[in-house]
Amino acid sequence: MAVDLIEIRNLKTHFYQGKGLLSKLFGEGLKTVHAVDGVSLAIKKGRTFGLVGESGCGKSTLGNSIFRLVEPIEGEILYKGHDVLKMDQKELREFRQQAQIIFQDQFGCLNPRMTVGQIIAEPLLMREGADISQEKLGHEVVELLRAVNLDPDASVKFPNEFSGGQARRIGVARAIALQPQFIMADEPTSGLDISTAATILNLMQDLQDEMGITYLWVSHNLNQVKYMSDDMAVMYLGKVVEKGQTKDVFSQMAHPYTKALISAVPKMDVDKRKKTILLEGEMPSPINPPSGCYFRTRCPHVYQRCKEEEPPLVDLGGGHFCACHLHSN
Amino acid sequence: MNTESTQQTEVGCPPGQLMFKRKWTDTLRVTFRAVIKVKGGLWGGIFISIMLICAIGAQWIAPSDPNAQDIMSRFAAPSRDHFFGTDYLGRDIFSRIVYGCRIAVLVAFGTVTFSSVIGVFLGVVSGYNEGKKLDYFIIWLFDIIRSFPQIILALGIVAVLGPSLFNVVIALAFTAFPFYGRIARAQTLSVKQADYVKAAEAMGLKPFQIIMRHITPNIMAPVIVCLGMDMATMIVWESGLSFLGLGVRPPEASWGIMLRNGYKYMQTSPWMLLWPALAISLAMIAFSLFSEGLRVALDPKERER
Amino acid sequence: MPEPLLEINNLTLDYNLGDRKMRALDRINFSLGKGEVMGVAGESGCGKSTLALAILRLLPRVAEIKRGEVMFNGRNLLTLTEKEMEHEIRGQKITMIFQNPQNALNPVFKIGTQMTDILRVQDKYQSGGARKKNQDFKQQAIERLKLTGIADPEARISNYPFEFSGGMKQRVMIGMALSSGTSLLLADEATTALDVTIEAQINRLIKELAAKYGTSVLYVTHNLGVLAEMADRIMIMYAGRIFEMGKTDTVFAAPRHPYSAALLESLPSRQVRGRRLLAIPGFVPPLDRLPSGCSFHPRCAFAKDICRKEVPPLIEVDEGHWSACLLDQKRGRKKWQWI
Repeated sequence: MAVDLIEIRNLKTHFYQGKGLLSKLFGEGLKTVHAVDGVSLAIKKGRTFGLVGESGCGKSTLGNSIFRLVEPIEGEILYKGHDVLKMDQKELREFRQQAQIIFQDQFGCLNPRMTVGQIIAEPLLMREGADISQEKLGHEVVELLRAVNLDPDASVKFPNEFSGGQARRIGVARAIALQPQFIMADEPTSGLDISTAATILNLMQDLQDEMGITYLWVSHNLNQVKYMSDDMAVMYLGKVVEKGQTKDVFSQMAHPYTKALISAVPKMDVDKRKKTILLEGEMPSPINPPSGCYFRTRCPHVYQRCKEEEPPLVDLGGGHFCACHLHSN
Repeated sequence: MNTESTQQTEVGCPPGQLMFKRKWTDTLRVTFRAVIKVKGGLWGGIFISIMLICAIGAQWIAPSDPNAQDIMSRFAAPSRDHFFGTDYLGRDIFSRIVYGCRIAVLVAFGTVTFSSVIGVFLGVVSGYNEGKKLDYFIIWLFDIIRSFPQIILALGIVAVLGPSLFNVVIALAFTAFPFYGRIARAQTLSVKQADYVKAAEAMGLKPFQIIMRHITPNIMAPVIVCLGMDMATMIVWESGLSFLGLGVRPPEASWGIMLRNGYKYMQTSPWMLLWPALAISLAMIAFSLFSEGLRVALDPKERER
Repeated sequence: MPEPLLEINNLTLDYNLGDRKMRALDRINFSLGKGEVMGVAGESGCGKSTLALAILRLLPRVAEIKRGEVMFNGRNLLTLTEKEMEHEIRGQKITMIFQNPQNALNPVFKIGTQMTDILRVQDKYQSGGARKKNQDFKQQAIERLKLTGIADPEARISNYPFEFSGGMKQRVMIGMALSSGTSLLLADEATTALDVTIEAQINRLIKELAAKYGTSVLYVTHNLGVLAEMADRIMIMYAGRIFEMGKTDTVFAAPRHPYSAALLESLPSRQVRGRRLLAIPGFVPPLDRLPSGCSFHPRCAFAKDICRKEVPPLIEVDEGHWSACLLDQKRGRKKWQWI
């Protein structure tokens, strides 16, 4: 059993809306957006943790909370036993060097006014200070570019001279420059073509095998999470509804939402095509979540208890958890 | 690997040597080439170059001393001896226009440099610290300065400091910097949201490094466009201040002073008014056209057309 | 094979960008039967969206149709006047839905107002001026909303677009696009921007409504999984050409073209954890610098000398299964039919 690299305990990140003068004048109180509402996870060292859910379920906010790009209001994030939320600026900076992000927008995360060489050299410069020799820096940049299968010539070009797949590789090269322990990949193949996406997935798999990086794989693409991750969690409206080893979750899916989500993924093979469970309606607003179980407004199995009680995460055995009243007894 | 990128690099990388930066001259050349591709930008560029040449080489271009009086040939109409005629003291107007370029250019570049450096710095700092006390203080400062009509404020400052070229520059820069501050702040607020700024934060970069490396270079495009526009305005204002007697001291050859001298003799010797007025208008149009060209050149979306 | 509704013969289209000439569509031949759902798949830049736009003649000015015809119900759409296209075809017989429904809805007008405006224009072209009351159009709009499964359409009709979610906006667009008069729906990445559960809802809706009205659908997407569930037949495009076309199940189960096969292999859904995905080496070539011969040969694992020299024609390799690969044809298949 691998050790936990990051453990998240009861994390809550809320945003406030309506802080303006008008809403104060007209007596409308603060609206709280429950973006992440009490999430506990453990990400194991050297493995890939898949985080799935539809847009607006809080999966990206959870990822950003780990890096304190948004400040959670409650809970603990333990990185190697140290609470990230209690770190001071210096410790936080050190932590951020060991943990990196691969952003969803492959072009948006690259400064358009810096050359690729400068972009990749930036984390190196930050670690080494300004006294690193240009030669050594150049050498390292070339090594990094090679590691992500890019031409060394790329270092003098600007990001807009590259295709989506290449820009993604540049982002990966920057992320691995400091040999991080942990990388959060936020929809790393969004906007990429099928064959390009495959090369990125292969690349990231290779990097994990070589460098032992731990991934938090945030995606709405279930096929990808199934292929890439060892453990996974399904989020709905800021809460984890099911988590466990990926193979368990896919083979013995317990929560009605997980079932619907997985069944909604289009299948290529004729014999695997089962009836899709179509959910009614859409995800409610995280400003005003329903009482009891958040999923009850769309759940096909809803009954009285779902309205009154919030289902706890129950162990179904083998580290497979599910938050549903159907399984709580 | 690069077969896919359709765009060719305009700047070569010497083989075997790794370069991270493009030389700034390369960047300048590429931008300039894009500006003159725009029709107006080319004409603006030509006239601004003429102005710069006149400003730098005034003593070689001007046929005579701009302040040399020749009482015998007062109010001479344009002729072969005096291309643009002479004024009420018999001074050669062409020479004065050429020397006037020097003042116009000094004022234009001086003011926008001062005001944009201060304004951008304060704007970026305030935008980056959005919602904090520092931000409120800087906005408050901008708003106070902007609440005075600009020309009145400039007049007041010059009146206190005393009229001179340097004081005109200071006064105009002081009235203009909140304008840049506002642009820089608004741009910072949007650039701050960009993923590359988040990436820099997540990398552990210090705020100062983020501001200098990631925010400032990316907010400069609209600022530079405004610089161009503002230079035109500043030339007009300097003329205005000089016209009112609060600008450059006579007998210095400023276009505004020439205007003031000229309008008295408008009926009898219209060339005294015509040439400085034409020079001011052309300078204004040239800077406007050039900044329009810059806008197109710095906007990647427009450039592709 | 149902009676053909749309037949595209030898359609070739260029984009003239200054000194660069890009062949976006190259000798496209296919026919679409009445009530059939045809999927168009391919990577970005393969010309699949251009194809849909060319049918409606909604191309940018730089596009030039070199040759070919688009036969729709026996009329060549390319020879119709702009007025005929507007009054009889666009929005009437052929409708289109796009990836971003929010771009198609004006944020400052109510949903109902925008729907009745469109209905009024359609009515004007169809009935030629027989006056109807505003109330009738409003009623019609409510019915259309009801058809698309939007709850409480009477109230929803006076909402603004920002009060609708992405999925609901796409429902509105589908409600406007699909009616009894429509014979062909062009869907260009209609569900790409939506979440999986919403995507499943929308695709179900398109399928149901199309079946109800007997509408044919040309479903353009890069998502092969969606096509597997939606389309009766699919075609796979690459660099402006059709590489393979046939019954969906046949193509997915036994692709005949190396590109289709490679594309299917590179999907993570077909691979188990730990096994490497097949990644096609290289990149999709830019359209103005296509390789000689078969445009896929630099990336193809099976490429032979002949692939560099000859452009493979699209040939019926099996009953209703077409493929454009020279090697497949060299191996000697039953049917050889050149078009």
